[in-house]
Amino acid sequence: MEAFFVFYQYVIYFYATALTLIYSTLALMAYFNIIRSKQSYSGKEERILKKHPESAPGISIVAPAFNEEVIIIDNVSTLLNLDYPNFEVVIVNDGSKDKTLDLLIEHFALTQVPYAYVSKVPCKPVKRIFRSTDPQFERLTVVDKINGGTKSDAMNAGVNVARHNYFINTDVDCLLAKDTLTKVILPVMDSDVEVIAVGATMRMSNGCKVDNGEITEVRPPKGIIPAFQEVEYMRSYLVAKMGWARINAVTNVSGGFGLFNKEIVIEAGGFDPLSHAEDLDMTLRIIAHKRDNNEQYRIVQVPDTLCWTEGPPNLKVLSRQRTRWGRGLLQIFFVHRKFLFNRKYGRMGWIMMPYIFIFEFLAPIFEFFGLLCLFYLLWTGQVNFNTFWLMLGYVYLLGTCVSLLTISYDLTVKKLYNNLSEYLKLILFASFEAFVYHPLTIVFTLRGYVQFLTGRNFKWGEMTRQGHSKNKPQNKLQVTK
Amino acid sequence: MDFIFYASYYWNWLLSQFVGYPIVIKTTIVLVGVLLLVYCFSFFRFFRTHKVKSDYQRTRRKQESLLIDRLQSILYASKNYQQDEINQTFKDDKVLVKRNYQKRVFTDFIVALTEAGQANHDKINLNNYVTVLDSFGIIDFWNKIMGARSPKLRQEAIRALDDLNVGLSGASIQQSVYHKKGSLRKNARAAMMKYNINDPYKFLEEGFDTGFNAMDEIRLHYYLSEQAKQSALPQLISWVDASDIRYRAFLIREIGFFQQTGSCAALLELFKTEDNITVKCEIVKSLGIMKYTLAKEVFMESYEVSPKLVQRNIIKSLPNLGGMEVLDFLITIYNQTFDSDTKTQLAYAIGQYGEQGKSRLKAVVVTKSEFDKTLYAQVDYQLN
Repeated sequence: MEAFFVFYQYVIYFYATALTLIYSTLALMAYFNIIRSKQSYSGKEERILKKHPESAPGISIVAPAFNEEVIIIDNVSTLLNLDYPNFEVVIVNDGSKDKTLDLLIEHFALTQVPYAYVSKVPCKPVKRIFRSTDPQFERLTVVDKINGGTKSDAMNAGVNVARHNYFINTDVDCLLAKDTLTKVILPVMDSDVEVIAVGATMRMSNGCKVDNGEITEVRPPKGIIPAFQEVEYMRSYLVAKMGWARINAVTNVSGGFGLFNKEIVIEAGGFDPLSHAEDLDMTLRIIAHKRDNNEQYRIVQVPDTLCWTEGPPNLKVLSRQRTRWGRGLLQIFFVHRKFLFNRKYGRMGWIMMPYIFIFEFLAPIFEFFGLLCLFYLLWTGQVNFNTFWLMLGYVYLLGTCVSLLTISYDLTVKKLYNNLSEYLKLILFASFEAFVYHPLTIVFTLRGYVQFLTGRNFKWGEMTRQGHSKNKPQNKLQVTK
Repeated sequence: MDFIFYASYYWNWLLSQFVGYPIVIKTTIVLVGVLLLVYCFSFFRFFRTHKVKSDYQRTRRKQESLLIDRLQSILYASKNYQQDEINQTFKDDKVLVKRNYQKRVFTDFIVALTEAGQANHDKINLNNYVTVLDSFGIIDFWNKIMGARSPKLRQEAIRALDDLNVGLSGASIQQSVYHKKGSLRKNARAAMMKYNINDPYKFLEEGFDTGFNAMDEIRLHYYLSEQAKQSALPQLISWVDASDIRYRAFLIREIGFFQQTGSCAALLELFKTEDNITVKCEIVKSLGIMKYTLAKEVFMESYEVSPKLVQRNIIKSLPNLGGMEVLDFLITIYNQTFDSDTKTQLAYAIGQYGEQGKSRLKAVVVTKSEFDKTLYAQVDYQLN
């Protein structure tokens, strides 16, 4: 038994050290990637693109909606107000049981139009297509379909209807920055190799002020859980994904916001309606598709915050979210196990999948059993407190250093908050994350693993929306064309 | 000195606490030390970045609140102000645009101001505009940066001077057109078209640059559009024999965009001999945009043997070339095709013939599937 504990302590130690090395490297690569991105694309390139619409590639924004009556009008208005010369908005009403569709019809003057629907990727039947009779909403298309139970199914319907070569996969509860489309398309254009997907930084909208579907003031979330998640998101996007993007090894283009090449997604079979982590699954499959066909590809990560999403306001919703992510992660290794350590899949087989397996999938297991070991050793008085504090400080400093670096990177990209105190609030939360927030996410993720392994009948975790705007949905909008 | 002494004292004290411990523990002490340094560095970086950004915002607010009214009255005045008058007007404000970062902020501010004026169709007084910039030393500042060693600074200067629309010259860009940093080199080469009066199209002639991509297309298109406002562009067809396929396709697209109809016959000849699909597609699009009716026979004849991408571009272009024989051709093709995407394109192309086209399409879809009937309804609804 004692030998096992000694062995496990060594495992944990080398695991943490490997993480230190990986995150140090990622932080360095992320820094250079952020600087390169800031130097390559300035406001000038964005202005040129907007001034010459004939050169701007078309983009379809696809956003599924299921029972979103609280936020639907504000958020669709935000999407219609984006500043880009060539885009359309496709809202997929996934069989909502509330007034989502009615509100859309009333507010945007929608009418059912004849549409020769072609099913290129599978999804539940599409019932009707709506377009607006009001020219100021001419960019809007609403797809009404039978509920498919997953976001993937609704996304596929949107992809079938999307007109442009690139589409954005987002959620209807997400608010996009006005310059999102120019920021996200520039790296696609500025590449010799085909860019198959682009991700961008996401953060919490919980503290932001929203007026007429537009973010007028960015502030850190007021709630405890969303504030912790803000730090976690920033670390994930600005250090991990920006770092991996430097060597074209982004593992996951987030389901909240991501630009995809439509043809590639269709060729790869579309989103998997059975997947619990449709974003990770889609990213892996489009990479596999390119590798299977011996074609070069790139996945780019943009450092700018382009998407705000409503974070879980309480533990109950956080638990649902993380349990679903946990199920999805485990499912990925069942469905795509052939990619793991497979030479044919290049860096996906040898870097990305092993990294996800060892440092994302196994992490909660190692950490949970590490905690159990610690409690046992404390109980039996076998802890050497000299080395205990040293080790604790080591692990704590690793997490805090990365979070602090992340916040400084975020400032480098753009100063979004007004006051220093708002940034200091994030630093404060980053300091307690390891003790308060992180253990909870471990428990919820493990619950997801158990649910997947025991084959329980899962329900899509519904989010309790609070809405962003104080405005009534009936408010008229100013639409930029 | 004291700090180093105390730091090394406590470091040695820490090491002494772990004498006799295994190597793993000793390594951890070193790692904790390194992480502590990173922690301190991160804090320093955070505060420094925050200060830089806050200074920028504060300066911008201050410049805007103090200068905007006077600047607007001078920039949009009909009277030409003398340098002395402008110096006198801003004599107490020079301190606001003294340091390098303040000049950068002022550049952003005045560019935003002139763009807002353009959006309102206000006519800017160029004489006053240049005198104001001179008075605050903005043009000198950016020209000095143009000569910097750092490619990042040079690129920033090219962008700024082009945004200001004054002060950039072919000679100052020349030193960047062969720079090893690709993005600077490409920016400089594109800008040469607007600012080099001796040989503005030198790099178009030479195939522009390696790794030609969509971003370069946007840059070149922008400068070509700017040039086209000043004078007639040269015939781009003369450079279409370049080796880079993407560059050739771009030039052909620009021929169509700038309506260089004198190149139509040559493009049609190129269509007959060209093998590359991308180039062929661009030729079809451009000839369609330029309404070169002589091309329709060739397009219709070559339709069957063309790859799908070329076929789709032919379908899109044919309605622009007009004629009843084209409508007959489109109807025939519609009857033969089984691909729903191509059918959709054909239906829209036929729909462009107005009521005549729609009635022909309606007659065709009567005997066909539900998809065809819905497609007709869709086209009828959207083109109404």
